[in-house]
Amino acid sequence: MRVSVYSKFNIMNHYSGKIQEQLAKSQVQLATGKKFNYASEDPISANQAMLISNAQDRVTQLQKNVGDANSFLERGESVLGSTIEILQASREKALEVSNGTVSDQDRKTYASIVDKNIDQVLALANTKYLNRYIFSGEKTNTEAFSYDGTTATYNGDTNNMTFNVSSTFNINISETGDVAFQDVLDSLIKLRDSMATGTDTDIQNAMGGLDDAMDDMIDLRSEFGTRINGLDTLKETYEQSQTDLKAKKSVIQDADITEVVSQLALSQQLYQGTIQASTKMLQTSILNYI
Amino acid sequence: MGLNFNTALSGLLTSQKQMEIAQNNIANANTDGYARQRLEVSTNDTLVGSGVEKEIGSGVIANQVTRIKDELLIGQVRSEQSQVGYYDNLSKTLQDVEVIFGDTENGGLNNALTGFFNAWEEVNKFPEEKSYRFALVGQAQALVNQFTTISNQLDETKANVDTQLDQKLTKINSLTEKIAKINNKIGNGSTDNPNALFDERDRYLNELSQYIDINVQKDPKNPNLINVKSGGTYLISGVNSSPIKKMEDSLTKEMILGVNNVEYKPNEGSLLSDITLKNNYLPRYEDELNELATTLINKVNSYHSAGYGTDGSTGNNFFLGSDARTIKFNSVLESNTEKIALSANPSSPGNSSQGALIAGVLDEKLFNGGTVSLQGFYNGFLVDMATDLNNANDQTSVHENVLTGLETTKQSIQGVSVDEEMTNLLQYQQFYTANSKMIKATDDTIKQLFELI
Repeated sequence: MRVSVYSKFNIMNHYSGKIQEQLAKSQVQLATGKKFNYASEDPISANQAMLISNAQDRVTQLQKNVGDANSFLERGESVLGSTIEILQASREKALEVSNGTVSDQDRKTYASIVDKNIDQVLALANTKYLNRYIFSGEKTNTEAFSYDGTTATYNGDTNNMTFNVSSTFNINISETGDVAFQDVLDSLIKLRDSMATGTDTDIQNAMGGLDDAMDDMIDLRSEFGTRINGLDTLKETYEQSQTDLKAKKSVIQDADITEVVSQLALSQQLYQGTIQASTKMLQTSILNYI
Repeated sequence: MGLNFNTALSGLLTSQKQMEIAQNNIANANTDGYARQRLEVSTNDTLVGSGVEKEIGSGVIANQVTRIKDELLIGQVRSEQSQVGYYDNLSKTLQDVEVIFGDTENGGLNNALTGFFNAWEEVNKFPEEKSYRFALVGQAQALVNQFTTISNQLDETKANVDTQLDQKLTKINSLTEKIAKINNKIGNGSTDNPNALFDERDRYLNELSQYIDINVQKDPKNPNLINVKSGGTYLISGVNSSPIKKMEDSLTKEMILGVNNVEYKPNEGSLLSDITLKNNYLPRYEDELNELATTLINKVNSYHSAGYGTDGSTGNNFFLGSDARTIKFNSVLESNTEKIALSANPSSPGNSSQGALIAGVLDEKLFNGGTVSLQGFYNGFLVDMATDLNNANDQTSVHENVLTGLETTKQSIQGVSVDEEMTNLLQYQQFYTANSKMIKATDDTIKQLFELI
């Protein structure tokens, strides 16, 4: 085949251009560590990578929700724990009184201790966490209970606040005050009154009521514990899926550095070869011999 | 005829012409579209004298200068050039569009959508907290901003395509006019083989083939003239050229092209890709973006207006506007974040059931007849777009390779090889020297004859 001057240069241009393209591509891959940076370079992989990114975003958000739900539940659990301790202290005082071993003066003192305990439990029921009354149901900016010395009135509503912790279920992050604290407060008030003025039987009855309320609260506390455990399991699941998703994404979009580097070396050699061959070829001309 | 100067002289002159042609070939070695020339020679058949004299002949005749080329190959190169023109131009504009939508990792709209819906997730957990509402407002504005920015940039791309189209039409019309003028010159010319004009015309045809598909035919009346057909329409007919003009389709109101008021549709070339971009690709992308925005606006608004703000207000829209271009965040909510309606009832500040519905819009199956989620729709849209560009890039590369191959073959026939020309030149020089020596020999012989007298 005849080779015209035009072709000589044109062929060199074409092929060195192609190699330069490959070189630039390897360079970008090395700089970014990714096989592709625009979806058009590999639409199918880009689609997979996008789906994984979306899943990652979703899991990250759920992880945040789990964390927040967890912190509310842990706070609630510790409030319930403190309440139970106070209830136990009140019960001990009531037991001493019911044994008939204390003087009338002491009965009054003990009753006033229980009265203080009522205030403490009220304060716990009205716990504010992250600027929110956690036992008022969805009336989060209303104090759960008001108390006039004889009756504790629940001011919240009966709807539980829930957080979205997985695509399939929402978790209660607390319990409404009417369920958690109403019986406890009522039985404490009854106990105090019976300790101050009632008969031994009254005190016995009131203690029975307190025991029931305390049992319910212990149950509730362990239910909080169960929910926290459930969240821990979710947390681990999410951490695992993050690791899996990351690995998957890496397989899809991360450049194999070894491969890229050897491709780069190959392209460089080809480029150098093309240039050298072209220069040699262009040097050889009959003009050198005339 | 006997001993004479004329036979040697004809050789001398012929070698001169051949050297001239070699000169011209070398001078044009790098001229685009140049076809190398060759002198066609034959023996002089002007028979003089009689007997043996008549059998010897009387020198050489330079018949004509021909251009060495392969019309079939030239046609193939042109058609391949139209293909490259089409795909290259398509992929350039689609690249602009891809950049508008962002790369795979930092895709603007994708991130804005995720950020917006995650802000809802956060505010749903703390509906009574102002700071979360402010964060939501920020994300909503970022999302709106993305939609408007993309719409504006798509508009810019459309305007660019329009400008390109106009420039191409001007260029094409000036090329067809030039070719018709060359036809005219050739038709009027005294020489019947005006090679320089043919070269110039070929160069223009080559240029033209990047913009549109061309079918070059010899004029039936004068084979030196050409007619040019594109998309079934004659753009050049002998010495007349017909300009391509923009028209409007009376039914679809789309822009179409016309020649002499009849619709003209190019089959290939970068002009076609501009029209396809203008009437197909860009409106399609815009429609999908608008479908996304409109569905988002309507769905979020329907949940939001049914909910209650912490001040008990209800019936407020979250977004204003109706599509990607007009979407706005309701400024009433911006200055009164308590009106952002998360709650399903007016007296539960801690309720966020409406907010939960809105957060769920990301995964709600709202598209393609309730089979595809918002996120799925957007991803699908991005992949479609990426596939369009990927295809255009692949096709550009394929056709460029074919074109290089064809061009090389074409050049191997019509291109100038300097080595070859120089070798020929040596031969012509020798030829010249031989002929001048011949004249000298004749002269000497005749002189000797004269000395006898």
